[in-house]
Amino acid sequence: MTELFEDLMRTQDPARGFPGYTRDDRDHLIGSVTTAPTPLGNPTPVRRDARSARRLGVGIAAAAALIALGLVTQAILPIGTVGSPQSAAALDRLAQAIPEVRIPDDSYELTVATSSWISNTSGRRLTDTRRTWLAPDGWSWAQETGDGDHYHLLPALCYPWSLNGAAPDPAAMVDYLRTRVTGSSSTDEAVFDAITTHLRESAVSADLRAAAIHALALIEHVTVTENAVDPAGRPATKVDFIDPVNRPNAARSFYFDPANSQILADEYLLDGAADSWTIVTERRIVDAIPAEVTSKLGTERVFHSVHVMPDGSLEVAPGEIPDEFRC
Amino acid sequence: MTSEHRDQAWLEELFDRYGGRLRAFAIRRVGPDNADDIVSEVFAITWQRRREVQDAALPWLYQLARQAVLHHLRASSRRSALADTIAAGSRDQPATSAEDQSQALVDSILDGLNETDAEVLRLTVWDQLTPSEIAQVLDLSPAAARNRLMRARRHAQELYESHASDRAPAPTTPSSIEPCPTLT
Repeated sequence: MTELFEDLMRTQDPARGFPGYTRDDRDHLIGSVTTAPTPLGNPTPVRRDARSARRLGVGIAAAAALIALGLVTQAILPIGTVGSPQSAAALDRLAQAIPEVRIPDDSYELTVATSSWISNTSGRRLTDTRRTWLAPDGWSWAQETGDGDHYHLLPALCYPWSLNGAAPDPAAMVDYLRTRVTGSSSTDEAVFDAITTHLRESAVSADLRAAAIHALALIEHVTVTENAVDPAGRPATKVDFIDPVNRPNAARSFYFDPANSQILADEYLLDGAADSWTIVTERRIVDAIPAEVTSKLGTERVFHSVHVMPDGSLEVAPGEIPDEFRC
Repeated sequence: MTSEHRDQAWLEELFDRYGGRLRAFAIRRVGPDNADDIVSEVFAITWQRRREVQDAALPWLYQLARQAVLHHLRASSRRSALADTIAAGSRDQPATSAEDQSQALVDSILDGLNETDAEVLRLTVWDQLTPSEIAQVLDLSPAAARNRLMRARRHAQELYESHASDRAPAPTTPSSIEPCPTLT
C-alpha cells in the first residue's frame, strides 16, 4: 500500500465545487462591513497562555539582544538575476564545495540553531534554540528549548515529495517536485521550500545534495548572490526567492556556507522586515548523543516526541511510543 | 498603501485577492451555509482594525477566520474542538457511495491525529499555506510548524495504510493517485 493520503485528501476537499465570489457579492459584502457597527461575536486577539506569558520577557530580551548584535537584517533586494548564467555558476561553485562524506558511520552531525519569530497578533518576538543530532541514516534526535523543553526523535524525511532514492538529475527533480508539492499558492515557492528543506534537514548523499543545489537555479523567482554575509556576519552565498505575483510582500532567503554548502541561516521577510529567521550557531561531528537527550527519547529509532511539563513530568506525544515511555 | 490611507478600495482589493480562499476555509469548517457569515465577519474586523493589518495580510486574515469559526461553533453549541466539526454533515449519515466512504475515511484519519497536527495538515493541503504562514496562523514557531507538519504527514499516512490493510478492497481512490514517489 503506497498511495498517498494527501492525494486522497485533495480529492475530498469539502470546498471543492463551490463557486467563487462575484463582483456583486463583493460589493454587497464590502458595502455592508464598511458601514456596519461592530459585529456580534467579534473575535479577540489570540490569548497568550500562562506558559507563553512567562516566556514573553525572555523572548523580548533575546530578540532585543539579537537586534543589538545586528542579527536582524534589513530587506535587501537581491542583485542576482533570475535564471542567469551567473546564478547557475554560483550554485555550481556551491555544489562543488559539498564534502563527499558528510557524517561518518557511528557519528552524528550536531547542529545548534536559534530561531526567532514574531507573533502575528501579539507582535511578540520569541526565540527558541534547537540542537539536533543527525545520524547518517537520516534519523535525528532534537532538543528544543524556549517555550518549554521539547524532545523529538524524527525519522528520515518522509514527505510526499521525498527525494530519498532519487536520481541526481536537477531538471527531473524539479519536474517531479512540481507534481507533488503542496503548501503554497506559488508552486515555485513550494518547490523551493521542498528543496531547501532537504538541504537543511536531510542526510541525503553528496551527489543528490549537489543536484538539489543545482535544481535551485531552475526555479523561477530564485536569485543568487555570492560574497554576501549572513545575519550573523559570516561570508555566505545568498539564495533568495521572491514571487511578486503569487506571493507579494514575502521573501525567503537562505545563506549557504561557501566552504561546505551547509546552510548557515535562513530568513522569512514580510513587508521588507524579518518576520522569522534561523541562525545556525554551531555545526560539528560528534561521537554520541548526550545522555540528557537519550534519557528522554531513548536510542531505538522510534518516531515520537517528549514534552517536559512544568512539574517536571514527561508527556509523550501520541504515536509509536517506546515501552519505557508508556504511561 | 500605508495604513493611514486604507480605504474601501483597499478592502475590495483584499477581498478580490483572498475572499475566495477564506470562503473555502470557512466551508471546510462550518459548511457552505455559514461560510459567508465567517467571511463577512473577517472583513468587518479587518476594516475596523485596518491600521493594524500587515501588507502581507493572508496569515492575519486566516487567523481571524479561524477565531470566527471557533466563535461560530461555540455559539451554535457544537463541540468546541475544531477537528471534530470538520465535515460534520457528511458524518451524520452513513457513508454509502464510494465518494462518501472516501470522505468519511479522510475525516476519520484527521480525527485520529493530534488536533493541531490535523489543522496543520488541512492548512497545508487544502488551504495551501506555507509552514511560515501556518506558524503565524496557529501562533507557532516556524520550526514547530514544520515539525508538526512532518509528524502529521507521517501519522496520517500510517493511519491510511493501516486502514487499507485492514479492509479489502481498499476504498475508492482517484485514478490520479500514483505509487509512492521514487525518482529513477
